[in-house]
Amino acid sequence: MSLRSVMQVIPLSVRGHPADVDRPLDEDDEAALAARERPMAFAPVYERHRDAVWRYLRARCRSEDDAVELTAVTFERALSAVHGYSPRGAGMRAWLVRIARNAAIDHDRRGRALAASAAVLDAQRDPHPTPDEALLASDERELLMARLRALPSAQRDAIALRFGAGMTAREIGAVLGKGEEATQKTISRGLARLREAYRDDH
Amino acid sequence: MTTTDRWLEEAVTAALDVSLTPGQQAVIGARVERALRAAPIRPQWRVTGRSLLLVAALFVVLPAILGVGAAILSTEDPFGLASGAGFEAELDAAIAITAIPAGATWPDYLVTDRSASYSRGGGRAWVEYVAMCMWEVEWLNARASGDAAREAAARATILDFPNWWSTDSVWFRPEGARREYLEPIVAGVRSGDAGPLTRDVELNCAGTEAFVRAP
Repeated sequence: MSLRSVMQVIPLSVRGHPADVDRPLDEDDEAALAARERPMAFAPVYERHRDAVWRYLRARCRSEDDAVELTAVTFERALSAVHGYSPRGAGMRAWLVRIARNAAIDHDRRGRALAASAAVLDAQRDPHPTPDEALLASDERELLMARLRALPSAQRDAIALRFGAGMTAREIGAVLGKGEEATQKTISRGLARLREAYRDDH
Repeated sequence: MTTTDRWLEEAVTAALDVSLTPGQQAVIGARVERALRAAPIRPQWRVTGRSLLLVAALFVVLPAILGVGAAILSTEDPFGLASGAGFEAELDAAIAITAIPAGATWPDYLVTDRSASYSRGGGRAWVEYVAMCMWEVEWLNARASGDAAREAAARATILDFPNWWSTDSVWFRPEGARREYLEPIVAGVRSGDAGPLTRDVELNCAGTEAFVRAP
């Protein structure tokens, strides 16, 4: 066995994702680097990205309590792994969301945050929807959220990250392991499904 | 009612645009502040160097110690070659179904070089290998800190290692060698003897401790 053949199996090089490009250091990169020596330097990163992480997780979790818990877990994990953060990556927000996504996957696996099943969704539906009501009334939003949670995971995540966390297709691609174009298609397909579901609801 | 793209996007944005309440902010803020104050200052090291350490441990040190015919990760490609993107997808799929300790984070060195080719199917073996290291480090940390709950969780997982997919996979050869290698580690944990596991961590798990919750 040669080392060369080993390298074909195990990734020695950490970088290489399409979203990983050289770019000037931003304030998040500086904070992450500083946090290796002075953990409190990470505090502004938390302030800047807390809401994006929360909105993404809220879209994944059925309960807000779970989303709150996972938001805290995300930043705890980020802090413990900040020495491994690479400024050459897709950026801090993508890095944090990737941690959040892994935390949510772990959480799902333990059965404490279940995606809305079709049965649950049906139970939540108003049997007599009134399409002429204000379009974004509270129950309408809840219905839309339930439909969003019921999407295939990649579509759900992509839409939550695009419209909840305000991320670009490139950043989302770095989280999901897709290229920018493929990510855009995933978003479009998810929206098409949502549109279809909405029509079925009404 | 018609749903235009713009309407739908605005509706989704509005549905997702929910802020944390002050109470929720306080809960998260307290957790993060505690973590900030408790965070250890870690030595910096090059990621590439850490990866090389792991690979060296896996492919050079371990086989050298175990001798010819010992359990090594097969470098053959019985299922053909996968692209870097394909291999990364394998890693993601494996990560999604592989448990790691609470508070742990998947190491960033799992990310592939997408310009390279990889043996198709090897991703899960690699992920499980790293996860086993994390559970072993977790068990040691839990014992060191006297955290009975963490230790019990790690112990239960380690005792289950023989049932993990990679234990009998084609990626470790010769057949049965991986299972044989794990036996003394599992037996040690079962009896409370940290020796075999500690040796495995020292030999094969360099860098893992940084991604597992500290004692």
